[in-house]
Amino acid sequence: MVAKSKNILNFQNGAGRILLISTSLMLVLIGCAVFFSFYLETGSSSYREVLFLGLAMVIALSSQWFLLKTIQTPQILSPEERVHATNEKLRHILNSITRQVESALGIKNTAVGNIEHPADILAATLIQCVATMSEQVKTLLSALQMGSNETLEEARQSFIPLIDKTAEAITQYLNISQNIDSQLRERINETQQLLLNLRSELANVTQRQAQQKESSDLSMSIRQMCSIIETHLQIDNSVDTQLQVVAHDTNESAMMLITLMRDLSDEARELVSYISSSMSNIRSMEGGVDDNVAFIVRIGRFIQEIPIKIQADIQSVQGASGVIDGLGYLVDSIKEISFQTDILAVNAAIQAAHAGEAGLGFKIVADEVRKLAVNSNKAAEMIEAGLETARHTIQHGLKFKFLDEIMVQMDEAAHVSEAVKKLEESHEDMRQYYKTLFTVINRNNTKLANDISEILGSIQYQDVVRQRIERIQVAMQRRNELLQQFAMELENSKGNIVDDFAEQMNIVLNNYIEEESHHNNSLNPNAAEDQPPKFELF
Amino acid sequence: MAKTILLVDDSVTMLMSVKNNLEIAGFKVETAEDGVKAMAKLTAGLKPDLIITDINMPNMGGIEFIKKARALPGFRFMPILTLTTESQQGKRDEGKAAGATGWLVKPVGGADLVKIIKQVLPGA
Repeated sequence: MVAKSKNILNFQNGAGRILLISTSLMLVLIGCAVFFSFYLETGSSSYREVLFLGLAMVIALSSQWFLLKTIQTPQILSPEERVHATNEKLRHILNSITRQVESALGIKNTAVGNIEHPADILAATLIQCVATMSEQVKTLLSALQMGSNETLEEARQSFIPLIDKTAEAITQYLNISQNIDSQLRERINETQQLLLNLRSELANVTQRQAQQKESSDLSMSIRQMCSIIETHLQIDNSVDTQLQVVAHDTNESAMMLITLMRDLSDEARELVSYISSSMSNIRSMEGGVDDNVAFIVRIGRFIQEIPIKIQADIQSVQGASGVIDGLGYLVDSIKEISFQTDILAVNAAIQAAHAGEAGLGFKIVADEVRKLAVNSNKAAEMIEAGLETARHTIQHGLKFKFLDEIMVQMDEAAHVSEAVKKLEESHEDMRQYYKTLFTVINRNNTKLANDISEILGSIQYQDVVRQRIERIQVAMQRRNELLQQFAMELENSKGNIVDDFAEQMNIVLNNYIEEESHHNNSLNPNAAEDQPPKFELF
Repeated sequence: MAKTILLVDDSVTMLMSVKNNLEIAGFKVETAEDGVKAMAKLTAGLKPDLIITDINMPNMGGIEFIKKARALPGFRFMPILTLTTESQQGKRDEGKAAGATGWLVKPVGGADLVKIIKQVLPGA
């Protein structure tokens, strides 16, 4: 493409040279004509002036026409498959035209002596004539300024052959130019046609390339979009799987929680049942404990009374000892009576013996009395021994630190009473403690049961979450179906989507939002206010 | 004697949690996973004191189940509560028209549920 532009530029440069030279010639010839018409007033040379003017006009106009045609010639490109060949051909033509123009104008890079082409010779002659004429014009102008008629006449005489020569050269040049011009026209027409074809083909190629590029870009975009959609669907599938895992896991956890809560509730109930049963047993035992406490209290009182009783018993025993002592005196009296009775019996026996037979009966009585006396004495001795034993026993019993022991027992009896009182108080404390314990356990168990009940209620959130996930999954599935359909159609139709997927996608979105609005949303307090109450009796 | 409640829900979690909750509160609970199974139990002779049903269930939804249950002899005045995530007024109206006694929106706390049940089951 760069090479082609360069050739065209060269060609345009050639045209520029033609324009420059022809314009210069026209100006010089016009100047000469004006000079001869107005200053020399020579009627014989007027035809030359007209010739010069005509030539100059023809050259200038043809050059400008050629230039304008060249410049205005649109750049038309050849078909893609012929671009190269056409381009080469065009380059060749352009080079040829350039060479011919340069040759005709004599501005080729060749030495003057080596000029072979007649156009080159003519061009050189023309240039030389123009240069000479220019010099002559300068001379004429200077003579005119000085007002020298001779100089003017001399210049005029020398100018005429020069003009003739120039006219001849121009005539020849014109012929050559016309020849060149016709060739150029032919070449230009051919070139123009080639250029038109080239431009058209290039335009086609450019358009095709642009379309191909666009198509390629679009295909790439479509492929990328399809790839993105595919990845998107894969992500969705992964998310969907994870959502299912979430629903499953929360379900499993909820079930485990329910089981644990139920076990906890059962255990709490069993514990309360056990404590309740224990309290019942405690209550039933309280009667026995009360009886025992009363019994212990009575024992305490009894123990407290023991020392007094013992004191009374000691006094009684001591009284018995006095009685025994008194009985000792009686035994002595019995012994004395028995002794005197025995003496009386002996005396009676003596007297009976003295009385003889009359006294036999009395003697028997006396003997019997004597036996009675002896027996009485023996009984008195036995009583005395028994009394002695009794006195000894009492005195022995009272000898073992009896009073000290009584005092210790009195103190212990007082402690026992205090201990029994403490025992009674401890029992009451214990009863109150168990009562409080049962109350606390019962209250906590009630709270525990309520908490368990609330936890079981809260597990319903798992179902709420599951249903929310299911609604999301339904919307995602519908969206994914649309996306798959969209990607398929996008790939098949190369970007020309017929169905309105955006609208269908909006429908999916609106359906999801509508469906979701039917359910509570804890994150939207305004929605909660708008929602009907959570519990309603019809 | 403990009151019997028929609980209908397609979520095993719901069935387990509400069943345990109500059993702890002293109720006897029967369960069914959808309206069809619930109807089968009712036609088989189950006569609960209260029915608590979900609305969105497979096979037979809650609204249809309520209509069918109401058509059974002896079920005209039986309290039927819905326990659902649906909170829209339109659905409530549908439930009311089908014969529901009340509308509960999940989740309902255990104590609240028992309190509501005692409202519709005096003496429970």
